[in-house]
Amino acid sequence: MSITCISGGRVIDPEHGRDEIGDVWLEDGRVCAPKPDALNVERIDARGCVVMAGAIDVHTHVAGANVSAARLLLPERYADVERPMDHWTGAPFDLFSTGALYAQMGYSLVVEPAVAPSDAVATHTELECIPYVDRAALSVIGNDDVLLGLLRDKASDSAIADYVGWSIASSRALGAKAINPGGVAALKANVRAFNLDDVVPEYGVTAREIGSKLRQALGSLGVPHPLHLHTCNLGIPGNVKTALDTIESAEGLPMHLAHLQFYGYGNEGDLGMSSGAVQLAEAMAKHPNISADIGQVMFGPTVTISSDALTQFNYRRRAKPKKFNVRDGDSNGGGVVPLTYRAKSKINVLQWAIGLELFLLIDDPWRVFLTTDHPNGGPFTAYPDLIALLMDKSQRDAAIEALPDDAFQSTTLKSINREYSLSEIAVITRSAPARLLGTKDRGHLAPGAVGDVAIYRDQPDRAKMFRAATWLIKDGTVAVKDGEVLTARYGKTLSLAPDYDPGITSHVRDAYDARWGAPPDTFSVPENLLRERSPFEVVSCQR
Amino acid sequence: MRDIVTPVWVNAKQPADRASVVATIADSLKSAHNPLIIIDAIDLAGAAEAVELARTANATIDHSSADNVHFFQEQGWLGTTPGEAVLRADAVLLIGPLSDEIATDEALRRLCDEDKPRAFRYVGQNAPPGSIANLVGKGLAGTNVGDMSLTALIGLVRAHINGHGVNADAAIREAVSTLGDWMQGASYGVAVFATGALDDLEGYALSGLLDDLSLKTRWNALPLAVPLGQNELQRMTSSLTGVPTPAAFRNGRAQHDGWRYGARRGVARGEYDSVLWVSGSDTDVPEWVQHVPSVIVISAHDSALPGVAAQAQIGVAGVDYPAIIEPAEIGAFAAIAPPGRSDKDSPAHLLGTIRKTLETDGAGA
Repeated sequence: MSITCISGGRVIDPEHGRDEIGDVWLEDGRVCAPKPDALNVERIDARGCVVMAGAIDVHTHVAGANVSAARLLLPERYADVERPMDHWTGAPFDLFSTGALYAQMGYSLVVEPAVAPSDAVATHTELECIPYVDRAALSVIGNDDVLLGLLRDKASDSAIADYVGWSIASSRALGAKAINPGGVAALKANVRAFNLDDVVPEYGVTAREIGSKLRQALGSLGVPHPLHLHTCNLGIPGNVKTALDTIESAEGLPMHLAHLQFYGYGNEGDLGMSSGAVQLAEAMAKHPNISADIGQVMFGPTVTISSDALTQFNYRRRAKPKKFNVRDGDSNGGGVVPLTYRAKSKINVLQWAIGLELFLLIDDPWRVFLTTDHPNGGPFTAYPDLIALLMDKSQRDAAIEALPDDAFQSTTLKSINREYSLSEIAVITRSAPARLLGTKDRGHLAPGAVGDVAIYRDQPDRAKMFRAATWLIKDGTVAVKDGEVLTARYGKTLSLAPDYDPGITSHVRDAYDARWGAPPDTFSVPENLLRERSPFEVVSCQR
Repeated sequence: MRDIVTPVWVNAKQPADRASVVATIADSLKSAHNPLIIIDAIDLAGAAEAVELARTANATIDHSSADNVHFFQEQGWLGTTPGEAVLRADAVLLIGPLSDEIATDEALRRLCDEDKPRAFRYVGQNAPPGSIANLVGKGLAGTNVGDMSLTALIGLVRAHINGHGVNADAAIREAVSTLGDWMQGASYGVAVFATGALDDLEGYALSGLLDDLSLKTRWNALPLAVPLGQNELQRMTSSLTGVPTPAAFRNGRAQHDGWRYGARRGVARGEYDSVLWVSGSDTDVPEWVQHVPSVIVISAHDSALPGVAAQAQIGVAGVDYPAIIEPAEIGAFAAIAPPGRSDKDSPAHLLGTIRKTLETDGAGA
């Protein structure tokens, strides 16, 4: 039995309204009630530090076929630096570096949000290789033959729910994500633009209908994480209307919008693009059923990685360097398009400003999540800099000063005085993500919680503070000390086991046979992958 | 836990125990000045262990057919999957040299078998062999490149579809316009070729052609007969190191250079003094590999191979042990459970044992 006392730090646990100087006790890998009489207590002196639960990233592309394709496409970027782990060059980090860098920043759980069911086995194998942090995945659904066929054939809601449950279970996911639902299927029929009410050729259904059915299905299955939706028209000026329509389309049911910044674009002004952040923030205020991660753009080289094959197909000729990889895949496929967000580009600066506006204008931090849609808006290693911008208006003003002034004409950013508190940072990086994912023993520090604790030296330079945790305790064991990772340990992959009628596989069988000449369980993820010990931990499937 | 039996040989003579061969292989890697690990058919777990062994041994790692995919992986293109092609393609262009072996490719067979009406053409130096023509049926029309290079012909087709004049004699102009118009008329075209059959220039040219065509219609590339282990190794190498194969480890860090670290070139230049050939099949060790002074083999061979310093037998992925592989006909990774019990070792287990031995004894030169 091991007992640890983290003593004297400023403990910030918004889930329980705690923000005070105090102690956090851990026993056998979990947070426990104080044990003042215990012997052999390992003590961590956290005086002068801020103590929070381990952070959670709800949307970060760290594994899977598209991430792998990006590594193959851009080896020269990774080869350019002596220690790739420390430098973002615009190509995905290797898996060890991914885990280590997250841990150094105090993260303990990351969610890969786009696992194609037909790539789930390989993706989970990769996720198992990410050390220090726990992992989870969202199963991509919404452009696949089976779902579209069920919708075309007016299958019952229960049949659709059973299929969604089967898909989540067979790919061992923590939820489901729809990526340009219907739009990617339409691309295969040579459709180049697809809106919420456009009809998928051959199936006769719209994105609105697909989203509606998926929201219902997830609700009836009790999947804690609501539909994670990457809606239509990503990145297109004027798409704020699509986002607003999408929010309305939820009809009050829970829904999570992915990388909202990429949908915050009006089409007014000299740039042909303007900020729609105010409209989105107002819509978020009116619709408490909606949550969103932001997908903040940060300046520098990056590579866009997306299962929105339609968007990537349309953007492929903007690639810099001039090479891309776009695949029509089974279900979504995907695309890899490298680019650089330039501080001299008024469009890129506007994107940067819109992201910050959304963070600052959406009042309820419990429905906003800190992401860059890694690596699409920038690397996750930019989070500390982003936190600094959110917490300090003077830093924002200094950054704005160095950027082209006319890029800000349509934004309200300069006039926003809000500064995030440490407690609000804890909400958007810990408490709210845990609630969103339904991982009830994470994101807080009450007894029974997983013993994932991040301890930061409190200092005015917030970027420095959040870049290197003084300690990260993972499952009760020190994983990071003074900003450096210790011996690698491999955590768990969280998944659901939704209750569904396995008879639904009779519907799946025909589609799988036509496409692959293979049975429905061809891509089911087995209990064991690389190691003798299963990496999976099942999370309760109830809202 | 399975009881594992690993038949082993040293210098084609069967030694007393597996441990001695593991030690011999570890010693060979350790004492080599510049070791090379070549992967043939392998599963994902085996590939992961091969990468970690290469890291520990400061070795170079490559797939036996990695030259085939260099342009594909580093230049990118528009691609599709066998399943998508089977369901959707209305036009299939067979491009480049095609052998009789391709006629047995499951993806091509399904493309030819399905009920969906589909037009086929070929373009290459010669017409495909009769086995492929028979598979396609209906008389396979096409374009013989003749004295012209395939790259040049593709360039002319690109010029034609982009509305530029084609400066060539009448017969070539006719062939170019026929092929270009046919491709433009497709709703969903797929350009298929044997993995490794196109050189880099041909690959670049094809990639550009498909991109140009896709301004108005849809055309994608689909390599056939992707060797087992190629994508498995690429996936794990890039995930575990950040860079694709070929990769060379120096002080634990992987470096990638498609030319410098390519196994075939390095072996031909005599740059390696020891090679570890790992294959989950009983395919013969290629002649070009045997030029390396010290050859160690881990494969499914059940008898001693001549001229091999040390040899150990492993099983076949999905037959003797549970394996995650990408069957070429599916084009996606699947976990394959063996049909029954087997006492044969997996590459992951054996390579892991060698790595641990090496780590215990100290890494390579």
